[in-house]
Amino acid sequence: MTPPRTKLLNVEKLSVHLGKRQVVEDLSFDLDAGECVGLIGPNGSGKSTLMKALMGLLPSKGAARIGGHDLFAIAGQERARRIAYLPQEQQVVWPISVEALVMLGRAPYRSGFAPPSPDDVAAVEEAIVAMDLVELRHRSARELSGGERARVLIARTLAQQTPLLFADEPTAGLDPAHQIALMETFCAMANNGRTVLACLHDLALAAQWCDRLLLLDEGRILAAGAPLDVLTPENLSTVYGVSAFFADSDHGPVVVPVRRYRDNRV
Amino acid sequence: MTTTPSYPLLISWLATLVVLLFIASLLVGPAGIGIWTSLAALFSGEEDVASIVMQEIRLPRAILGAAIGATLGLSGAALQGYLRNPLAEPGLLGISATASLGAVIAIYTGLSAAFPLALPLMALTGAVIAVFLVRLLAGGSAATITLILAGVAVTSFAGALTSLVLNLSPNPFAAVEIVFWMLGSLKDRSMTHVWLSVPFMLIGWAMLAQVGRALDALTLGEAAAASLGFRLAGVQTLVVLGTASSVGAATAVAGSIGFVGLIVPHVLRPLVGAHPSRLLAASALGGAAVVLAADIAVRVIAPERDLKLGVLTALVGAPFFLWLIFQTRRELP
Repeated sequence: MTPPRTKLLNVEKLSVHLGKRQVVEDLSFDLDAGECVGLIGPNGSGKSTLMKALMGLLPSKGAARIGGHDLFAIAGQERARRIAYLPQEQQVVWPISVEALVMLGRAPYRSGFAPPSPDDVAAVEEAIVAMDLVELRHRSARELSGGERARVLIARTLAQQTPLLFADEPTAGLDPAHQIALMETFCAMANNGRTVLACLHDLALAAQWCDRLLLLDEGRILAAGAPLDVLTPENLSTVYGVSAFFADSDHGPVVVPVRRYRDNRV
Repeated sequence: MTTTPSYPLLISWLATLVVLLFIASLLVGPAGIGIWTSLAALFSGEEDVASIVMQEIRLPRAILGAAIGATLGLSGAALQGYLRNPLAEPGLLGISATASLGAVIAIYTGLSAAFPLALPLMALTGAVIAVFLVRLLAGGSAATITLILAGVAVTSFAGALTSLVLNLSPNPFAAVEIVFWMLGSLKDRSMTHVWLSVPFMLIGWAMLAQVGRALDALTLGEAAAASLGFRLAGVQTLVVLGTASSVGAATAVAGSIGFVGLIVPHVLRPLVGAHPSRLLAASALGGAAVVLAADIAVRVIAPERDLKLGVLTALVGAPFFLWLIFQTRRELP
C-alpha cells in the first residue's frame, strides 16, 4: 500500500504560442507532493517552454493551480515561495561568494533594505550543508568547476524552501558521478515531501531515478506514468526514433538508447 | 578566496573621504581666502566679498560636484547591474546625448543668452525625450538587449543633430561656446543651478536605490531573477527613469562628464564582494569623491587656463578604460 498522495500542482489545458507556432498544446497533468518526476521528450518538444510558462515567464492559456491557488493570479513573490526554478542557462554574472549566491534564494522572503532574518540565515546554512558546500562558502561563485557550480545553484533553490522545484536540464554538462549525485539529491528532496519536476535528456537517468515520467512530443503528453510504462520500445521509436537496450539492475531499470531508426528527425 | 572589507567600514570610509573633499573643494579658488576666514564666511550673514565668494560661487560648485559625482557613480552601478555588463555607463541610454543636444540648441538659438535657465531646462527636456524614445524603441520589452540597442540609436541620432547644430552655428563664438559647454565643467554655477538640478537627482537616486535586491537576483540571469519574484519590467522602469532624472539633471548643469560612471563601479566592485546592491551606495559615494577631487584638480593644476572637468576625467579615465578592456580580455577563457 502506498500512502495517499496529495495533489500539489494541477495543470489544465495549458497552451503556449511562441510567435505563430503552438509549442505547448492543451496540456494537462498533475504533480503530487513528494514525487520526483522526469519531463522527457526530444529537442523542441516543449519541455522548457512548459516550465517557463508555468513560471509566468511566457504568456500562456489554460489554468494551473498550486496548493489550491491559481498559479497565474498570485503575485511573483508568492509564486516564488511555492516554486523554485533552476533555468537551463546557469549564469553567474558577478563573482559573488557562494554563500551570497545561496542567500539569493531567500529573496522571496526578504523585503527592502532589511538584513537577513534568522530564518534566512538558517535556510542558507541548511542548504549549504545539504549540498556539501561548507568548504566553498567563501569562494567566488565564478571560480568553481561545473559540478561545484551546479551544487551551488541547487543550494540556492533549496534555500528558497519551496514545495516544488522545476529544474531545466540540471544534469547537462555534468560528469556521471555528479549526475548521479544530483539525482540522489532530487530523490532525497522527494523523500522529504518536496516535489521535483526535472527536464532530462538522459533516458538512463530518467528511468533509474524518477518516480514518474511525462513524455512530451510536439507539445503534447504522449505518455505518463512509471518509467518503464513510458519508456516502451514503441514510444521511444515514435518520439525519438531510436531503439534501446533494456535491462534490470540492483539500482532499478536500465534504459540505454542504442540505434536510430530513421533520419527524418534532427 | 574572496576577502572583502566590512561593508559598513567601507561606506564610512568613503563617506569621510567625500566630506573631506567637499571641505577641500570649498577652500580652493582664485580668491585666495584663508581657511578659517572662508569657513566662517560660509555661515556669515554679511554681504562681504568672502561671504559672496563662499556662498554663491564655491558652495554651489562643491554641492554640484558631490551630487553629480554621486549621480554618475550610482547610475553607472545600477546600469552595470541591470545590464549585467561591466562596460555599461550612464550615457548608454542616450540620456546624456539628448540632454547635451537640448543644451546645445539653447546656446545656438540664443535662448540661453536671453534667459540663463533655458540651458538646463532645454537639457532636461532633452533627457525626457530620450526616455520616451528609448522606451518606445524598446517596446516595453524586459529584454536588456533591446534597451541597449535603443540607447545606441538615440545616442547616435542626438550626436548627429548636435553636429548639425555645430555645423550651422551662426558664428565661431557660438561654436566655441557650444564645444566648451559640451566638455563639461562646474565653473560659475550658482545656487539656482543647485535648486534646479538637485531635486531631480534626488528623485533619480530614490528610484535607483530601490532596485538593489533585484540587481542581486539578476546575477543569476533574467529567468532566475523573475522566478525569484522580481518584476523585471518594473525594475527596468525604475532604472531607466532613475537614470534619466538624475543623469539628465547632472548633464543639464554640468555638461557631460565621462568615465566616472564607468570606472567608479568597476573599481569598487571587488571591495563590496561584487554585490550589485551594495555597489549602489559605495559607487555613489565613490563617484562624489572622484568628481570633487577632479574639480579640485582642475582648479589647482591650471587655475588660469580653465581646464574643463570633463577633459580631465576623460584624460584620466580613458587609459583606465583601456586597462579595463585588457583585464576583461584576460579573464575570458
